Amino acid sequence: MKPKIKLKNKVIQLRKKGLSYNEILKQVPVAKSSIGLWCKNVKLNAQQRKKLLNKKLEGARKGSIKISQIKKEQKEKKIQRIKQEVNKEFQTPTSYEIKLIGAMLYWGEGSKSRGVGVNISNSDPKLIKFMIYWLKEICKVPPEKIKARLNIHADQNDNKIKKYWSNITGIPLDSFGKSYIKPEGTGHRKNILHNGVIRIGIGDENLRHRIMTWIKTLHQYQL
Amino acid sequence: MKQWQLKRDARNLRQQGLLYREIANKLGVNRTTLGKWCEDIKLTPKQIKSRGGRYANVIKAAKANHLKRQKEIQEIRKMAKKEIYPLTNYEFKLAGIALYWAEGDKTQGLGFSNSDPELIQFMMKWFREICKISEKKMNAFLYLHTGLDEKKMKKYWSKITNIPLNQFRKTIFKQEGSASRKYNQDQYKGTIKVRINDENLRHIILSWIEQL
Repeated sequence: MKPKIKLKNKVIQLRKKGLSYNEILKQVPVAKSSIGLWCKNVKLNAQQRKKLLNKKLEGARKGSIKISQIKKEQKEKKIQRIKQEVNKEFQTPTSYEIKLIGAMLYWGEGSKSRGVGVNISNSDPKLIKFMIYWLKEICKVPPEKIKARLNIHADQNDNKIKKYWSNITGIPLDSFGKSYIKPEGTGHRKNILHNGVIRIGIGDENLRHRIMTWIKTLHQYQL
Repeated sequence: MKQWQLKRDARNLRQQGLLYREIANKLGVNRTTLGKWCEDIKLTPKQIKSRGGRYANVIKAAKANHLKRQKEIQEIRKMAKKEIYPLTNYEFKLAGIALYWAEGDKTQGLGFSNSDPELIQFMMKWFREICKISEKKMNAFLYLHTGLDEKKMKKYWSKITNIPLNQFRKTIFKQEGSASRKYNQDQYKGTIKVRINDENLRHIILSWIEQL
């Protein structure tokens, strides 16, 4: 066995100067566990201890940042993978499938009570776009019969938001009714919808009965 | 005068046997509105006979109109029913995604809330059969107005959703508001929120929605 006594003495010397195990390791080629064993009894003064502690904390901080970055990347990769898998599960919807999807969306967002006609309220432009397509293509509603109105807050710009929705829906500005402007509340509002809520509708009770029957029938089949 | 006061007065007058036209003149309320407010009030035969059979004629005409409309609606329903077929698995999946798009949580967590028991039933079936969620991962809680019987409502929703009572969390009570409520008190069972602890599924469902 090679005598390590020289190395040991050097290690202890360095430790007494307040170096960390890793710093000692750079100068003396031994196993880190040996350094630990040899320096177990070396007493450090307060200043040295403080320096080492700070180093340790700094290291921990860097480490945690690195780990959180890795985790974030892993999560994003996972979401990407899920999206790719999901992509494969879907085909372009048939018109019957579009009908079903629209009926379900209506179940969620449409008006169901008697005498109000067909109305859908939402703030999601994609959903509204889909419903307009559905009304025109599946329910065969003449486009000029589709009316809209907005629900916005007092501090929002009515005209600007109207234009925004008119662009999305293709409903001409003069088919927009008077906006419902909600007066300033108590200031507890948490969710600010920058483009308000739009309600699109047709005053057609017959169509409402038809849609409601679709929904009822679907529910019955699924019971 | 507030709307509910008008309604109360209108109903009082109707019970005394006044014509809608007369009530409309007195209170300044549209006759269609009056019809909705007072539709459950039945006039006594004596009231109907008064004023030289005028009531009787009006009621007769209204009844005939109503029947005609009912028949029309029946016809529409019959036709509409024929347009829907039992769902295939794939169609059921699409349907559930659409509902989740409409009513589900999209910004955080996986959850679904509604007050329509039929819709909740449909969704629960979807969560169980399409998403294959294990029972343990589901929990629920209710939003109720003060004054509703919490225990009774929990039992009701537990039966609808098949979520055992011990998986119901604390109910959130809404403070009594000043607004007059429009819905029927007897039918109102509060709103339920079903939550599912499954982060992966959340991303799957959100990607599904993107696909629609």
